Amino acid sequence: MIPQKTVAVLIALMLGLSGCGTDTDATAGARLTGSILKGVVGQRAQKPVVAGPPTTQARLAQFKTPMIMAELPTQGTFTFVVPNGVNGDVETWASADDKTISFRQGIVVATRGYGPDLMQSTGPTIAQVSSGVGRFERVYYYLDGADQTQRRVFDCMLSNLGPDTITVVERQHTTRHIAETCTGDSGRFTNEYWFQNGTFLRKSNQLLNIEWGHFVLSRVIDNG
Amino acid sequence: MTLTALHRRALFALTTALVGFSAHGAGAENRATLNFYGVSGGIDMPSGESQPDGMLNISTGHFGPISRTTLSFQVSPRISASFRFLGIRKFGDVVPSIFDVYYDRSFDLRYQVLTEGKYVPAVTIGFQDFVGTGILSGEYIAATKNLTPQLKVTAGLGWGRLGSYGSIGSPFGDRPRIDIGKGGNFNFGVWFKGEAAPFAGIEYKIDDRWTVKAEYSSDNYEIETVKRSTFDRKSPFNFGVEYQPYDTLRVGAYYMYGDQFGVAAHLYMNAKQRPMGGVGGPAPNAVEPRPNRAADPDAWSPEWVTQDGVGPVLMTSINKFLAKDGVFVEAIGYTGSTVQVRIRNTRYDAEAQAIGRVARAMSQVLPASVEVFEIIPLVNGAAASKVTIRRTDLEWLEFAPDAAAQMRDRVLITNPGRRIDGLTYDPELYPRFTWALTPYNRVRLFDQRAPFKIDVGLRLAGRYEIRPGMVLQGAVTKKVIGNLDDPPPPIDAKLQPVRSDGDLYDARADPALESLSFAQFGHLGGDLYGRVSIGYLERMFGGISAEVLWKPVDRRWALGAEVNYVAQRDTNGGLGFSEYDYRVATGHLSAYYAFANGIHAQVDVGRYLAGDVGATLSLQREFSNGWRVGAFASKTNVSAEDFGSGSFDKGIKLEIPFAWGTGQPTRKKAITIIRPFGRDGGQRLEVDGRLYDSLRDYQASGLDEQWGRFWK
Repeated sequence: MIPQKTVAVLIALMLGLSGCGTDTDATAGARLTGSILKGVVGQRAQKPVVAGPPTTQARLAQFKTPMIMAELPTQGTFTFVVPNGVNGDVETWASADDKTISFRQGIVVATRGYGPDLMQSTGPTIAQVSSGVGRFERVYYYLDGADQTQRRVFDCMLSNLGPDTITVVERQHTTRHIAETCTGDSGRFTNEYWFQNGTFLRKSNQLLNIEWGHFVLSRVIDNG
Repeated sequence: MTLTALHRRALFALTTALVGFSAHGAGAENRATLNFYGVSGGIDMPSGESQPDGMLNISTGHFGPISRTTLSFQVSPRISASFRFLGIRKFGDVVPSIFDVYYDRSFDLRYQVLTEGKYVPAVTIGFQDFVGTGILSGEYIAATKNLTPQLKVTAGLGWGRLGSYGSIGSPFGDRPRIDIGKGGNFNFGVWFKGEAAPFAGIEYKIDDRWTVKAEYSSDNYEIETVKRSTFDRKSPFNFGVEYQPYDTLRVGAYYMYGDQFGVAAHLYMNAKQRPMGGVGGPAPNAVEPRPNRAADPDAWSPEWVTQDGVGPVLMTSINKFLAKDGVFVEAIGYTGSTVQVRIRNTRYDAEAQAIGRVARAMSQVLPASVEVFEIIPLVNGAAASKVTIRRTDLEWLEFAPDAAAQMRDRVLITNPGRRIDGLTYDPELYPRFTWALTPYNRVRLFDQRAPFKIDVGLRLAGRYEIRPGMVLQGAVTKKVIGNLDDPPPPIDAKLQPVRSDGDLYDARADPALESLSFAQFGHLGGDLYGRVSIGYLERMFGGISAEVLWKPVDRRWALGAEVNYVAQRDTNGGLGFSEYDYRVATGHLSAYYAFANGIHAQVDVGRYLAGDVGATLSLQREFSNGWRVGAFASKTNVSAEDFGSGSFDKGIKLEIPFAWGTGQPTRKKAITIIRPFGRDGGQRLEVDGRLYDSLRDYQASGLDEQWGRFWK
């Protein structure tokens, strides 16, 4: 039998040594184990991010590029994304920590880097949403835990909630508030949109997936 | 044993409850739980239910002197298989025995005959411990019905061990004694023979976490109580309460046989689904569409091909875009309209994701005149396949609905073909030296003295890639702590101890030169691939090994041949071969077939390390996320007598990708092979880089399994 006192040494060795070297293939397993353990330990100490404006106009003034603040309330995370690519009518915005959100005129159509990403989707045009009336189908494509495509279909309806004054990073905006209520076999959710000057989206709550809920997307820098 | 009046009444009440209420049956919302044998059941008795398809359970149950640890796998929706390790403590306390603790192994198979319907119960036929010494041997037919969403009842009839208490007679004649021989054989002759006895159970789910169970057991624990007095079986009734804190874990506490307390824990792993769902990792670069041709005709000019040194520049640029991906381009060749890149993927478990990332990086860099992307994944420096993508498709489909399926329809996966003219390798890349210092562990299971022994230490490995496909690699290990030097009881080996002396290597080879070998890998043309390895190939053998594989890239089958001439290494882990002075020529012809339902078969015919001749059949269930669960058996011209315990070589193999457990992309896998009887017959050389498994991930079947991640 292994003497009990040495068990501690053994565990320390297994946990402490994450492996080193230039052969990333060989050390990947050890590094992952190390990072997971760190994550587990770290998570205990970490408090969820407190909701509220995590930035100020003074700090935003340093940046000269359009910027959206993307919060994921269920995960307690937020990040800032800036334009990164355009393909046809889809704009992809990227964050410094390698997450991207792709928009078709402000409507979220795909995400990457979040894990349970929205792979592709079809839905209404911004003009349709902005009108505040109508009924349509939304189709979201995800990958499941076996990397197989899952197609989720929702039946959505728009409603105009009228004028609303909102605050985005210390500034007040007069907006039109539109809600989009969707139901499908896998659940129900509501997207919300706050439009300014026609179809300019100041703020929106848009679904990432049913399990993680929606993004809160705030346009914090208009045109840089 | 006969039934007492009380027990008979209780049993009657349970079975009438089953019949009486089955008409009110609701849907089977009450998921199948596991018993002390680690199979679907109540407490010590089985049920008629199955686990979800692809579920792997590790169960450990203990009461009084009894301990059982079981690995169970739901092979298909109806078939499950279990491998169990059993310990009976106090075995020699009353009646002298050579064992203080009696250890044994057992295999079960279960087949669900009927799935539960509105009126029909789930019915399963089970064969418990159906190979070998048969201390747990028993067969059963069990029926389970959910009466309400909370309440289910089970009734069954058992034979063998499960017919040893409260018998109703022997419907199919007497049970012959098992002819154990050297063990490891199927006990066909005894199945459903001898006395049969009914058993029953009831299970009530209080809420999603708590369940209470009660059962009437038909197991008399003849050996444990009557012959060996390891505990006192005072009652046939067992009671328990179970708690499920997570989807993956269930624990229980029990009062067993009116005499003993028991505990059990069950770990659930669903091979079909990563617990964390979609895999993480950094977002890809977006596709960069080309400018409109009419608006910017200059950008579309193919004249760039005439410039000198453009290849390395493009390659460096593409690699910049791939920097965060653990994928890089090793070589590039081009014409005005086609660019071919050869890539190495060190990170993505889903090979399609590596291809997708490279394609997007190419779209960022390559001149607009390039319409065709040829991506050739390299494995050990050798080309594995060729994925041809039209750039227009990439541009059009990036945000299209169901883009993965649409893309796959338009992509061509072929054999690597011939090299594109002017292929240029990254001059910085070769020769390439990498090294790694990592912890290692080596485990020995069931060595008669202890169920589990382990060494932990450090492994320093180096890899020197001289040129593409040509590798010199070596590894040394140094044990830090462990108990593998505590030897198992000596066995009387009739064959050359090609594996059974493994414990000597464990004890003496420290520090050890684990391997030091030179290997050349190559695509030989068409659908033919080759490998030659020379040197200290594994810790017990050194020599030369050569292999060819014929594997059409888009077919379900492949054929391979391997020949080796090796000598057995000294047990001290050094460079010598003199200790055994044993040389052998071995080799196999192999056929591989991937069935459409994820079942994979391999047959190897040839000569094994001990000079024995025969064949190995391996069957495994493979899941798209990389899980593989399988079993293998080798029958050679070694008699059961000469083979020793187990009669012939067999075992189970488990491959679990790290990406499944961590949710992060990595190619690392945990591979476990369990051989209940590791002897010398039917043993093959362990050589790195065998072609079939390393290549097929990058061919059509491997890429298609996780093609959804092309766009991830």
